[in-house]
Amino acid sequence: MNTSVETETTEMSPQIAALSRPPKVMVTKIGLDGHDRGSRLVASFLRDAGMEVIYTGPWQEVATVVNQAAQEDVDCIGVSSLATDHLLVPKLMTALRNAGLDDTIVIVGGIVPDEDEKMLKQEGVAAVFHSGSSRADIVDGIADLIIKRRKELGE
Amino acid sequence: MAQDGKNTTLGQDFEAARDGWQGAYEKQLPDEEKRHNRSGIEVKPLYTPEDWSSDDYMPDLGFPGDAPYTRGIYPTMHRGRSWTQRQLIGLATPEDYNARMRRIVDSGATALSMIPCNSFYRGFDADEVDIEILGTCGTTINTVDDMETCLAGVPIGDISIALNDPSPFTLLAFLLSVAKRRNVSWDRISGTSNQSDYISHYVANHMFFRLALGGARRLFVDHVQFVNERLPMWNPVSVVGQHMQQSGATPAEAMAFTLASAIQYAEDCQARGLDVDTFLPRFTFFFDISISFFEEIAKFRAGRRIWARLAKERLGAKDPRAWRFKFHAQTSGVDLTRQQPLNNIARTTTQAIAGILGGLQ
Repeated sequence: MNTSVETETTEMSPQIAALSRPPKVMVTKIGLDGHDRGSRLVASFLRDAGMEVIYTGPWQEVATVVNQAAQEDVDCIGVSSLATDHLLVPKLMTALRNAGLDDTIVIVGGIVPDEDEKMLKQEGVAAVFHSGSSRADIVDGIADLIIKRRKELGE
Repeated sequence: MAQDGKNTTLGQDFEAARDGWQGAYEKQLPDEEKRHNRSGIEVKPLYTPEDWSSDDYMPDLGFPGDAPYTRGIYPTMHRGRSWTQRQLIGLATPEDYNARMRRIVDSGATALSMIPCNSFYRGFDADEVDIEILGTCGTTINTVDDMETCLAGVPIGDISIALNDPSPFTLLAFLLSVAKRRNVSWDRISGTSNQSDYISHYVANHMFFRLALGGARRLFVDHVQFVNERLPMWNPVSVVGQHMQQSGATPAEAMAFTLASAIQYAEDCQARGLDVDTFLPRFTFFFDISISFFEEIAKFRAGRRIWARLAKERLGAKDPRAWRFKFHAQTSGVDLTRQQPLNNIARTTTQAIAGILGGLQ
């Protein structure tokens, strides 16, 4: 078959391997859109890079995501957005603060217009990965954020 | 595929030239691996009259407008009538939708489409969902009045309307109510219940939450029956292969699964006692077009041929209109990449041409 399916495995970065426990990331979609191909792909990238991934599937409610993030004690919540569902992320940030999860990193990936990216950053989103981001950009970007946050938390 | 004992009259010149070419080819590419298209079918470096037999011409190809319609479902195809171009529209409020649509109609569009908000897809009323996302990827249509606003100034008896929703039944009910208010006969309401094919949503878009498959199939047959009885210009279904191919099916798989869905629906209708020559001519199809140019053209030709035989031999349709494989298609985002917007234009053009040469209408 000439369709090249990527089969190579990503080697776990020494940074991730040196952590006392693997980074734990929730990959989710909030709101009403069901386009989940990107979130599945990114979830598999992160898993292959040695992270523990909680994949929720699409159509999650903010309250459910916050609840699950607390129970699973994740380092990071990755919200995938194709059709404007990232506009609900400010509500997610508020709900996380109200639940005492201020130290949970929130990132957004997908189709995000520049003006929305500004808004998301102001709301406290740590990074926005646009379509076309490389696997290395996403994996390393998330790993760096988590390593930094764990240091801040004295881990 | 070489037919044993056929086309043996090509002569010694042919054989000598063929062997010479083959020798030269293998000398220059001694270690070439076999090539395959996306569907896993081997693509040879060269095809000659040895690969087919003129005996197969009539059963496998025939002429445009004649069964099995491999070369097109109409005798004149695009010389007689150009393919329809339909812009998908769905945004914001009914007023916004109406303004955009009227601009498109004024610019010469002959067909409309309508995409409702995701809240409608999920079965919520507008006041039940977060306002931030309301109407951001479809129009908020909750009532007949909303539909009336959407279609203000649009001659609904003279224009074809495609309703895009995993269950377009409510939208159609709204549309028919608007027709009633305006004294437009339902005989004149034309268009398609796009995406009433719930199997495609179920298998490719995992919309398990919406309806159980058994109930969805029953609803579908209800819809076909209603349309047959009351709406002579309406197509109750566009059986969808696009979702499957966008979800990773190869072109051949997408065609096969779509035909399987169509057989299921047709047999469900027959089990209800509906007449195949009444409902089957109004089945239409919807496909993805990837950038695998020749493969996509071959996919559509194969689909037409298989459908003609299925409709006739398996489903027992006698009306040739039921044998015709009518379809529309959408170019594929999967082959595009954000880093190369200009290349994407060329890629999409290539996909569109494959669809046109593949005989879409």
